[in-house]
Amino acid sequence: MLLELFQLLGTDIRTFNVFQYITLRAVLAAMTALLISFVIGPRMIRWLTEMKVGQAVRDDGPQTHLVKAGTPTMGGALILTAVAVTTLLWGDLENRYVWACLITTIGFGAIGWVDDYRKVVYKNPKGLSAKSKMFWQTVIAVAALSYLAYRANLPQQTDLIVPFFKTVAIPLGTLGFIILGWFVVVGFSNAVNLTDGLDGLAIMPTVMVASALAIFAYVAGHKVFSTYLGVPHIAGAGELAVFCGAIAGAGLAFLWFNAYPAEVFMGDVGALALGGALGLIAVICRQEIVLIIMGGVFVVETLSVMIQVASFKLTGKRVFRMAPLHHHYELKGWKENQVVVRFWIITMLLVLFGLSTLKLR
Amino acid sequence: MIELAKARRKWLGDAHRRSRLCAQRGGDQNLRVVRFWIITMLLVLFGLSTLKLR
Repeated sequence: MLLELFQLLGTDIRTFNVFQYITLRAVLAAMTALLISFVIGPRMIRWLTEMKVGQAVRDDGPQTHLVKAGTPTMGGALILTAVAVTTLLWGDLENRYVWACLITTIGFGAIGWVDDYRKVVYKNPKGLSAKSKMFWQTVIAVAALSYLAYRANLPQQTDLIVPFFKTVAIPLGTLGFIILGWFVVVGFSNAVNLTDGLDGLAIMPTVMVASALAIFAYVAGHKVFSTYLGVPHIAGAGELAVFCGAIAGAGLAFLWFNAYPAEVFMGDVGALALGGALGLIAVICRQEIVLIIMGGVFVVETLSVMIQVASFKLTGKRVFRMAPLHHHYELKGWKENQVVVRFWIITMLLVLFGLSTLKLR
Repeated sequence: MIELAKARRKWLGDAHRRSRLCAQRGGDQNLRVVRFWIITMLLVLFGLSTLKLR
């Protein structure tokens, strides 16, 4: 919105042309989202508390978590509001990738909203059933991916890029692109949701991965940089750096309120939406494998649940003391803070490793 | 015997209060630490933006 205004003003006053730069708008988007979240945050937390939108805590979980019962949830709505408003302000609204990401994020957020609403307002502990959640996630993801596949006019927009190899690109075709994309988008959405079990555990890795994806998006959208680094050039993908900046800014501001001891939880409305957004950005930039590396904490948390369930069904024995993995470490005696900060450190290392794939090809 | 039980109850009460205070202080301390990290991160971001804004 502001881009069009500044373009108009730039014809008379050249200073306004500085806002054409994606890097500047990405930084400004982060700052704007941060500011919006700081302004709305306390009011939203107060409102959620008054509405008694309190989180129910699993009674079979660690005993130390029982004191968290009643902490307001659905704080993800704060992140989504900040991201949506900021993207509409600073993003190029003629860019199809921005709209695809924004609509998918809000769609996933809506699924999470319904789930949370049923759980906390109607006191229905099951919320939205796993099948309907998966169904609606699939509908939104397939719609977005089909649109991207339909609008793709170069093979590099649908090929699978293998990190560390400059010349290896596996042609997927339209169907392969949609199937792999579905796996990444829906998988990551649920992975972030599973990770969101301790104060600040999900949001900081999300901020770190989103910031790294901003760099990947910028490089992919830049003809010179993408050619130099051997990354597929996706015209228009650079604009996603603004969207990633908004996620990073809103996420950092949310962490302000979500750090231990949390004043608010993000709930499914935030977790499903942020996971879906990260997945789709990686699909657009053709960095699915790099996303799996950088979001290793999310992947491992999901695998721990799958292994635990499979092992219990097949052998009747549990591999972990409790799944997801963060509860396993809590029961081993790590303090909640220790688990959270250590998982952040691991994510930081994984993000650095992921970023190194830009150069090491 | 009664004195001993009283002293023990008092000690337990103090210990309980101490542990609650400690937990509270730990929580508050963590919150302050994380918020200072966030501020530092923003300052670093601002510093980095000077690379482009010249």
